[in-house]
Amino acid sequence: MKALSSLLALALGLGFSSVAAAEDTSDLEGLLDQDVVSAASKTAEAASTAPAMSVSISADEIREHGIRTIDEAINFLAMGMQLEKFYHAAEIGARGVLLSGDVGAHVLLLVDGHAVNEAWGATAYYDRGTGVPMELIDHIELIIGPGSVLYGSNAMLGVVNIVTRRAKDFAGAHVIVESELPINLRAALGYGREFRWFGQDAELVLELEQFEQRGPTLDYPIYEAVPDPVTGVPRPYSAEQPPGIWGGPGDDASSISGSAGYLRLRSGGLQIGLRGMLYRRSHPADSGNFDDPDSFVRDRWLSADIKYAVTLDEMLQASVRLYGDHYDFRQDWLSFGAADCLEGQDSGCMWRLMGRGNWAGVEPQLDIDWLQDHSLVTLIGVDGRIKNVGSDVNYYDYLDGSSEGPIGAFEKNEQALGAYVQNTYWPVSVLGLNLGARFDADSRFGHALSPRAAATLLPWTGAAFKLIYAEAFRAPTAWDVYYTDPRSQIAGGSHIEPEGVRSLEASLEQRFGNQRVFAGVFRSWWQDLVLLTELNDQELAAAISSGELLPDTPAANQLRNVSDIDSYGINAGYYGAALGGSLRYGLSLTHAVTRISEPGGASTVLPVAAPTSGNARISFSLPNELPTLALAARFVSRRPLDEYAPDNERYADPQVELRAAVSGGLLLPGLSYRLTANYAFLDVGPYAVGAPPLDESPRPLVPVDTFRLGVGLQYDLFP
Amino acid sequence: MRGVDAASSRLWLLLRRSCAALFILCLAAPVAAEDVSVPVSLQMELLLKVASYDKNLKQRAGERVRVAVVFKLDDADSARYAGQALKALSEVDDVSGMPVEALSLIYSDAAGLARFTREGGVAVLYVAPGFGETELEGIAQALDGVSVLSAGALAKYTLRGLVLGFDLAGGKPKLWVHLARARRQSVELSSSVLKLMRVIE
Repeated sequence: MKALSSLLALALGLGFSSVAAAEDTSDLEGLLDQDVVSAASKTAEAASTAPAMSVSISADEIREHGIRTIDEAINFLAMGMQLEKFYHAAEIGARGVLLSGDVGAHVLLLVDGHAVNEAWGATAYYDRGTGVPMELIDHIELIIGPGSVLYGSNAMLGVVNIVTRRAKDFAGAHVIVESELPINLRAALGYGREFRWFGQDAELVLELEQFEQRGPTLDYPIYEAVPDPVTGVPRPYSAEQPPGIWGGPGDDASSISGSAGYLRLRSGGLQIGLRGMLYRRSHPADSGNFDDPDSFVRDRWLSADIKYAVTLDEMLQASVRLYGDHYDFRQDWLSFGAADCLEGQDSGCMWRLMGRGNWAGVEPQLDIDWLQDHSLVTLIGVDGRIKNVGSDVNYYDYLDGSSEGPIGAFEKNEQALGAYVQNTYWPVSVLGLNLGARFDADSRFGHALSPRAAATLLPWTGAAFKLIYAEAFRAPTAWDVYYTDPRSQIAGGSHIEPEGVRSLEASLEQRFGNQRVFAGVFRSWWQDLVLLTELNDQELAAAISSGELLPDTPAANQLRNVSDIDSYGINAGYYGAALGGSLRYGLSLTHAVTRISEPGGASTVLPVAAPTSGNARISFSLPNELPTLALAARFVSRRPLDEYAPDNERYADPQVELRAAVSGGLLLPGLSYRLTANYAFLDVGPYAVGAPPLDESPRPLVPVDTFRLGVGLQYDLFP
Repeated sequence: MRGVDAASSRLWLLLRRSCAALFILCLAAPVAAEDVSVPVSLQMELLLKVASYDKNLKQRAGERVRVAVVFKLDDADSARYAGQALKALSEVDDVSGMPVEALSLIYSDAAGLARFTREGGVAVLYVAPGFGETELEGIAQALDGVSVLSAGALAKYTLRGLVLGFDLAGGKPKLWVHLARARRQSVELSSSVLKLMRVIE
């Protein structure tokens, strides 16, 4: 840490001194270093004046720092958001709020404006499962804070918009091979071309990738677990250990397999996007057994998006977007424990969850530039969607593969409509106002209103002061509303309301030539968070008498809106460049005080969410054909474990991760390389895993891969 | 549904009507929206900043920097973005200590544009979107030997002979400069400025 601090101090010193040394171009460098974002208001604008806290991560930064996934890009290079890794999966949070186990449902993920969060469980991945090859990414926009005003559900913590490259920046054919030695291999083929089509300038970009990972083999503590509660005797957890013993080397079930492809075609006002993804993974503790390769999770996505935009006259622009998506999910969870299975399945069972969603929609949008100079603009849009969602759960007997039939099966057709309006007004050149609201009506949950009001003041040269109030919601998932198990859970049903958040924030950004400082304060209030809640005696009896639960069910749960969160804190960041842009650096820090509460319970900390997080980075492009050197660090403070409870107060220690990267050209024109090294100081994460120990000691924490070298080659042909 | 049927029905009706109206409008005015990726206000900031680095600006401009915005009347996009450029220019006080005067010009032909530029003492010429390849090449030819910093709203305009163009890559604005055209139009930028641009020879 000391060495890192010295390096950062040196970098900052160089940065300031360069302002004086390169006075003649630093203002121009500063202008060229401004982020341009489009997700905050659906209009291209400087991030400093956008009606939300906006952060952009460029393709250059991704390449220089050897970034392989969206979660790495956010953790090492962004501000305000952070992700926790649970094996191969990454859980996303922002400004002190992270809801573990939400599969990304509280952040809206967009790919070129197309919403990825699926209709069944609102899943979106930021790890290997994002489904957009990294070379194809031009930049990643992060809108931190509630963003439902233009996008509807899921944008509670923010919006992540992945913008893909234009053909001019991805011209020719591209062959990519990379590996984190020796556990994985990724191969990709890309292509980009500009051409004329029906008399219009047109362009095509596409990339296909295949990713395979086996490992890493991490060791889990070996211990004696409690006997099976049903049989009363020790149960087997794996073939390599005697019954009752959990743990050992996780060498069989740690794997990922991913196939993804993305295509984008533009011609005149027409844009077509196609995306496909298959993502299968398993890990040693994701099962009733230990290190069982027959347990896995698989997601499949297929998305299409067609948009046509026209300019009607000097005042009016219009667009229509048509989209359609398919998603399906499968989880196989094998257990040799009778307690994990149905009555009579004493040798164990395979628990299989199947989920699916198909949805299609149309979104017309009208942009009215009242004064024809962009100072008073109204955006109006309507987003109509039809959805089909369904899922079922089966318990297959381990011995004969038989099933008593699906549990909690449902198949629903739903409709949703959202209408939004946004007014942007710059009455004078130093003051911008943004007022908007979106109304969503959905046959699944009712309706929700998401307003936003933002003011941007440019009081002096290079400064932008923002004040923002925004609300957002997350629609209850199909699982939340419809899933039922007559042995243990009744459906959430019409009782479940959308989760909501209100946020108030203020920030000041100041640019000094090519140096930039950001500071902000925020407060957010979350209400109606959905949690599994145990039924009281009267509710249990009523559910049994209505047939929702089997007779003699001893206890049961229901998903309900029972929890609130209160969070406040600060963001700060510093970014700059020196030596004509050869040396680039930045650092960010977020600190939040977050409390979660349930009715009748005292407020407490939020599991897995780190109160303090941040990152620092520096990159130096050596002159001529010499390589670019980069170093990034990520920090998260002490944080509660995922199983934290007032009577079980366990914390994970702070974590620091380092990423060093070297990249440059090799031998042949068009051939380039990158070498990376990743080091994590702490070898465990904030998640408890494994069966309950017999001696009642705490469950072990998930191990972390602490050191990994990587190598990648890219060959660009026919640019 | 909890009382959302009525609201939902109204919204579906609105959606159907919106789609129908937009479809008719699209048929009536099939002008594909131009893809101007860098906000025009930021383009103006960059344009004037680059102009301030031009060693011949003072000699060319005289007492005030005249910035002409040329657009096509029959192209809605062109007029739309020209309006934005003029608005942004109206909020600028000075360039290198010289006051800025914004002018607008409806494009008729390249020769007329060159004449206006020469006779009107235009120091900086901004070409709005909506121009075809042939028109841009004609403009470049007509401006040959005229002392003016010509700039286009789109990066590809630089490939057709304008001195400066604006692009967006990696979420940041980029400048393209046509070096040969710059020389022929007496635009002189130092190597440290050129280092920040993509140079087209």
